[in-house]
Amino acid sequence: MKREIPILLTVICGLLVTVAFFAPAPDDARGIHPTVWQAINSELLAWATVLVAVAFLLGIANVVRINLRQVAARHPDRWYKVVLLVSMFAFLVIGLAEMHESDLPAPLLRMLVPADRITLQSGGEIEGWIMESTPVGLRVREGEALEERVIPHAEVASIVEPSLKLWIYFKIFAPLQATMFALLAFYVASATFRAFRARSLEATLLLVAGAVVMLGQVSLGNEWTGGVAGEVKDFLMNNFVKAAERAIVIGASFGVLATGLRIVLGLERSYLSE
Amino acid sequence: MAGTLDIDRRWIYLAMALLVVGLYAFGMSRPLAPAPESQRYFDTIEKLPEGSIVLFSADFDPASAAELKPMFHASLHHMFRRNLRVVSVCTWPAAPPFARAAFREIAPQYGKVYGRDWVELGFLAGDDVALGQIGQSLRSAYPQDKVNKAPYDDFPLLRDVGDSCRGIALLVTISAGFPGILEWIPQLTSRYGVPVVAGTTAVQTPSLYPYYPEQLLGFLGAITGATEYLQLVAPGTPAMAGLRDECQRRMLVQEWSHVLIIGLIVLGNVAYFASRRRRAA
Repeated sequence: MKREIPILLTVICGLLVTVAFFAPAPDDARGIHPTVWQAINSELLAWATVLVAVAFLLGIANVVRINLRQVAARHPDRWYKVVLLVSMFAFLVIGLAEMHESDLPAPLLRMLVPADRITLQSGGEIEGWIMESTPVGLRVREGEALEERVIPHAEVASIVEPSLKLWIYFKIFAPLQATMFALLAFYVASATFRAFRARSLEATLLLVAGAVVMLGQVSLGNEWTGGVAGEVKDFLMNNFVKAAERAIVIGASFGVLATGLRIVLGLERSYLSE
Repeated sequence: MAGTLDIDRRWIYLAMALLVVGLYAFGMSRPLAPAPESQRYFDTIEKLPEGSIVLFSADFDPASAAELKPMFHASLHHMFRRNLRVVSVCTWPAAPPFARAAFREIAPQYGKVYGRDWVELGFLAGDDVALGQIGQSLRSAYPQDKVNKAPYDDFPLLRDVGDSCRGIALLVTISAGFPGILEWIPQLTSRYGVPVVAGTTAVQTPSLYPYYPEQLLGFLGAITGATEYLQLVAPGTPAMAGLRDECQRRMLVQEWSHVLIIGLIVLGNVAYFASRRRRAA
């Protein structure tokens, strides 16, 4: 039963989603109303989304397990692992605090979420935490005891909502990721010098096509070649690249179709570690 | 190995660094002629009737922001200038802060009201399953918005979007990879007939040609496409002039970087053939 039930569930879900895909899409204008297939498909898609979200939690658990093990084993890179774990949990806590600031007790709110600044039309300034914007005004927690009050929209001149989460995102995470990506320029330059060789006919074709596309992609190359590089680039992209990409996509799609059918029919069981 | 020409790779790094920094600081930018794909991207948005609803998806993260953020901002300016209504979604977990910052900065410039002119729905996990869910029913994919956590039907804009993408006039995706434009096309365009245009990274651009121009109406290829599009958008949008000039400067850097790389390819091959000839002799 440990094998049969998962296979049965897979077959049922696969068939239902396939049938729903080919059922006519609801369209009020043409008098096509949602069918039971769409309802089932919608439910299954919602389940799949929930499963993916849960996979994030599993991912966190896995990162913690692997890195803690290496820290415990005094791996030479253990301090990097510590930084990773501390950063991950710090960002998680700050992010969760900002998402749920209306539910946080006062000490935690003060510690984890920077206060918003509301400038009033009268010139005064209020420091507090905006819970939500209602049709009447801003619901704010402020003062020593963080009591709630509503400030009418008409009294508000401007709002500054500092966010620790966004500060970390834009000042640390974004520049680090951009730096890593930008380093590619250096590696590409070095790699082309060392590895891009006309060793065979195929390699020569690749090399010449690559160089022409690079030239044709920029206006300088077109100026130097009287526009020939651009025309050759367009010809290559609209004919060879398009044809090759289509062939790859269609081939891969047949592969996906065959694998899907094998899974739906219960013939492919690698997802059960068989 | 580079044949007999054994250059320390740090010299190549230095040459690239000097080229990038020097041109970025002192180079003179110049306009580009728009490619047909970029022109069609612009025309598709330009021709939408006022009040049309656009599903605007941020499918990227900071790694590709240098290429994609300018086109994301320019597209938003263009859509608000045309008085289109925008529904913002994200399929990459690191994308929402970029989307939120762009909307917060640009929407007030056009007097746009949250809920009426634009709504932020945020990130939905699930990759192409999530895209399928958005296509089938935006309401079930996003029961509430991201900013106010208010129910879907509280927003006049969202009430005009029904199941099977009814009411969505165009999908605009700024896409860095998976999930992105190549997943949106089967999930929304092929299935529900939603027209789509996309902005992508240089790496992803060649994979878009099979879909252009039938399924994909137009696209912006990397910073080149972004610059061409900005040149088209900026004349009617003064706020875009600075970003256009910035992108033109980046294009200058890219042009000469291409030339440097081609030069290195030639140099490496000359050395390779020279060493082969010597070995044969």
